[in-house]
Amino acid sequence: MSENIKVSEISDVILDLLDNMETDLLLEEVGKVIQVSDGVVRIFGLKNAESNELLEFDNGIKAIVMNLEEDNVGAVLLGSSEQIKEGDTAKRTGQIASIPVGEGLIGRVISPLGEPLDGQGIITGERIPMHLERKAPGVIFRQPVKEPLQTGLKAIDSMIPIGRGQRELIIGDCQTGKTSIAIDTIINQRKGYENGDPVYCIYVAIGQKASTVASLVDTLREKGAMDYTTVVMSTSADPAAIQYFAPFAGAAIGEYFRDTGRHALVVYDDLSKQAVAYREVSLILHRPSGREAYSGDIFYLHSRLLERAAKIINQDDIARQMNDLPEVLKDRVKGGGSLTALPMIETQAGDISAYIPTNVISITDGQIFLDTDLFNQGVRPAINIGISVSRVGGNAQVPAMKKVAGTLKIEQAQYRELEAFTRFGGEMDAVTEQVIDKGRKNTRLLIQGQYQPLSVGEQIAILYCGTHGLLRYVLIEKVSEFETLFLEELHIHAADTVLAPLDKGIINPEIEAILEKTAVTVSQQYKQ
Amino acid sequence: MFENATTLLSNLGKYPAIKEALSNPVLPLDKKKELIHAAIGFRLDEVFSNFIQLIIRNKRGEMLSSILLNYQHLYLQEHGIVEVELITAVPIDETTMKRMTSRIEDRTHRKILMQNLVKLEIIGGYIMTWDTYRYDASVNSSLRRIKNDLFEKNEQLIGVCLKI
Repeated sequence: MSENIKVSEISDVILDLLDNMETDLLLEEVGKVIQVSDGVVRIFGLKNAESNELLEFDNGIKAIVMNLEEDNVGAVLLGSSEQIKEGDTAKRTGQIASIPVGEGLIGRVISPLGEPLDGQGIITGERIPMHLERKAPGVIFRQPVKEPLQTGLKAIDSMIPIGRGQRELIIGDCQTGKTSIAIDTIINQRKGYENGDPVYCIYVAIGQKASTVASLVDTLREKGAMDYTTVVMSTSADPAAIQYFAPFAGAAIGEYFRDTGRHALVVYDDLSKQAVAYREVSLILHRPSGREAYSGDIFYLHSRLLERAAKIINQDDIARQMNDLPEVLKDRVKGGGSLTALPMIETQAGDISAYIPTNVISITDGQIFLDTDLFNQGVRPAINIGISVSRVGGNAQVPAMKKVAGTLKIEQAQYRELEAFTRFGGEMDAVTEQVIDKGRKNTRLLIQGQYQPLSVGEQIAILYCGTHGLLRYVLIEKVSEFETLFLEELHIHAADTVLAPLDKGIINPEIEAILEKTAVTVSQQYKQ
Repeated sequence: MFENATTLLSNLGKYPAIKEALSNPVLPLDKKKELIHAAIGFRLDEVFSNFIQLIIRNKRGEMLSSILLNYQHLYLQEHGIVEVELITAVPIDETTMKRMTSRIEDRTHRKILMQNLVKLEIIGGYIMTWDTYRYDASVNSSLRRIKNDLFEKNEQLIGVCLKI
């Protein structure tokens, strides 16, 4: 179909479509509904139905086959149970559940079935059906994670760096700032989008309040992030099946970008709610329950979802042989793409040894722990650096950041140990005092405002001051003021000589000298 | 017994309240038996009656539909019978029904029990259902397919039409 349709051509197009319409009689396999309850329907018949196959009722409602039993098929409804009653007929479609994906999804808020929810009309443009359930790329089609995904948050990019293709878990109690980290990361991709190196973002809201998601979308729109972001929404009012499939829809959209050689980021907020929805569906289907009443395959639920985040090999000819590629996509496959996942898990009272948290921790390539106590003390993002880790590590950092912030994590760990002793009182030697003072100021330096991501260059510049003791004459209460002034000075006087090379990961003695000189000049005002 | 099962199954579908009553723990056993006997109607088979009592006594009332469907399916299979439901917009005369039945019997070499249901909503054509298969040649279904195909394949066209 041509991109530009003239009004006068519409009737010709419609006549042409009607001439080519499929009118052959199809033999359908049908079954009869014997039970409907709580979003799950049991159907008698459908002897040849396959697992995860899409079924369709006469009123258009769809369901996905979950249980294949001796005398009936258990399916989850992708719509309201009220529209289905005993005796209704369901037919096989012969298709696997999929979501139509295309460039038209960018900037939209959609349901897990691909329907628009933002009131901006139908989604236009070519759309390719991407399967919700799909096997992750095999080992041969991957390559190690080496490219950084900049979150714009100093604490993360310096000490827990995330690479493109990595899975980094964000875990913490409610109201500790998990979503804020993800949103800041999405907002920080704006610069890359403007420079022609976009990371397409998919935010999957699972079981959240619609008002919360609406507020999030407003924030993203305000910061210009909706130009490269898609929001997949399944609120707490949606059936459990929709909440269960929402992350898979997000993964399918991300795979579209990944397999066409582009970079994508998918945020699952949060997988605890998906686990609860899956538990509900499994119990209604009478599947055997295990620990905490979750189904025995709850680990597999999250592992097969998160394994789809990958860094694809750079070679196009090998990438084209990737397993489970949709037919329609095969001629567009390019290597070198990536899908980064930021799954979230909500803990209860900081218990990271519970069932679901330990499952997902063992699956992901690292975790960012958010601590309620730190949050309440004003340390935001409230990241507990001691127990947060990125298994990709320095491989996902630009050389300059690695050099400047390489020792920061260890220094902060030493500071925390020594600080514990200060609570006992007593005198300290000069070296200990210096370590504690530096640690406190670095902690203050790592505090960052919400929706205020910093570029790599700015982060490296300010962290240089922290790790090289350039804040020793600055009062601790003035650290954030120092940071603001310091960066302003650099922007005014050294944007091309310092910030630009730092953004590319380049640092040399000349740049270091400018940083030190600027820090000394600015810190004169705050001498204690 | 097959007739009892078919009648009960049909009534369970028409009147969901029967199933709710069977699952109700407050309702006594003999009341539930009376309800089932009323749903089956006259000529209640003794074996079938005992079976129903067994089901109710063991509180398996909600499984009754599934059990009866399975029984129906196995009975028809055992006796080489195929039940065919033919839905049309207008009633089919007896001669046409007999002709269709004998044609299908010749093809399938099985006994055919054909039932004609009239549903105006199909507009025209027919829907033939047997076992777990269906031929849907209704006008309603064809129109729906055309509409879905047009919408799925031509979202841009729809977008232009909506702007007009």
